[in-house]
Amino acid sequence: MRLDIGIGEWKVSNKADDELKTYALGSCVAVCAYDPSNHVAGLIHIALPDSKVNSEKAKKLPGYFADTGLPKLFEDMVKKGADKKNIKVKLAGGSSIMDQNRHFDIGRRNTIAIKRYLWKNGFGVIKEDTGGNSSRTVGFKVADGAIVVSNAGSKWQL
Amino acid sequence: MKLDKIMIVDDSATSRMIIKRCFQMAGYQDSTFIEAEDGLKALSNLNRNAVDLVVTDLNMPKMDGATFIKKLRLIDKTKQLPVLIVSSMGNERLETELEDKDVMGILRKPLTPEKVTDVVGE
Amino acid sequence: MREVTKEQAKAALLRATQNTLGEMAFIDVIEAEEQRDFETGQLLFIEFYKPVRGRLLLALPLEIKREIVENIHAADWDELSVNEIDDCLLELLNVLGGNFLRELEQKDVKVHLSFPTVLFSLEEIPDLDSFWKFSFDAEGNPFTTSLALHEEEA
Repeated sequence: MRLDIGIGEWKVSNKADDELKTYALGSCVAVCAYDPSNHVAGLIHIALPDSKVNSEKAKKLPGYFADTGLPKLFEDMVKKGADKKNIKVKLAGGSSIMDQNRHFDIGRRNTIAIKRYLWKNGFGVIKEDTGGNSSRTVGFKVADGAIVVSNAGSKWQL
Repeated sequence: MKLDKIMIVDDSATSRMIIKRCFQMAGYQDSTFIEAEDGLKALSNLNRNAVDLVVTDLNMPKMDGATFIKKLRLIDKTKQLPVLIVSSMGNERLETELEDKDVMGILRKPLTPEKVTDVVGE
Repeated sequence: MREVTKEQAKAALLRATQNTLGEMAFIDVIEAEEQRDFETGQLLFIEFYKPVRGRLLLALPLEIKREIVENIHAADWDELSVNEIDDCLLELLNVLGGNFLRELEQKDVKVHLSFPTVLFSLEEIPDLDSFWKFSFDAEGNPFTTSLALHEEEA
């Protein structure tokens, strides 16, 4: 079954025929986490680095922010049978888009905030396809953890 | 790649911690890590312990990384021991000087789990 | 020695700082829009000899120093010893120095750096006036890097 994931949402599956899918990432980042021994996959579509900018929104939609969303993702993965120490992470998205004041690059700041959380909590990013200007779509197969990233013209394995 | 014992040679304790963590995050969470702060200490430790991989910095006091690797190659036990260089000073000339089939690569600091994965595989 | 302009040095230093602080300490760095005063919590200094000769000084406020160390160690400030904190900052400067020289040359080059040191006061650098000073912003906190490049002796 295909499980579509919108902005600020996350889904976790341990069913071998499921595929987690998220579309048009832009400066958002898809964090794809996988426990290869227990075949548990989780994908979250993060829009902003830090919930401090809007704590109301973080309550309603914790997955919108890296700091509130990532703990939820890993919590749910453990509930579905993942072992934290087996989990490996791949990132896609984080295109270079400036904030409203044209001050900093939101995509890069998202990617860095996600890596900060992961490093501090013992999860490693083993592959990433971030930055640049394309709008990426990600498909993530639960059976083997294979990830395909695509944009308008092409697709490639992550 | 199967790596039960990994030796990390770097004069900075922080750098040794980062290297260890990157390997653990890249899938070597059950490996044993042995640490040494310079080439001399690493050599004497390797006399007593067999390891599967040596990860070494280049710029170190007492005995630098390049000298350390040359010495390793003179000892029977470690002649073919795989070596990975992690340094803030990767450079082309050094790569040719160290053109050694058992030097797996030169990774530039800051090290990340991704750079480790690129060399040892997923 | 080929002439390095202030603009080239600044661009190389910005890229090196972004890369080092981003990948190692997980802090996003941009060029500061304006120079802001801050109380220096840490001064770090390194010299380099190849491919160019020069000196690099990093001045950090306490907030950034603390965040760098906590992020790299994945630990709380109170759990860390003075040695761990100093070693962490010195390693950061060592990596930054190597990255800067590579960015300046735009390729892999033979790099020769001194071992980095902690300074206690700016007075330890008598010719501070000859340094270029660049202001950066680490996710809202200001810090500076100062750079002096020297003619190679014949």
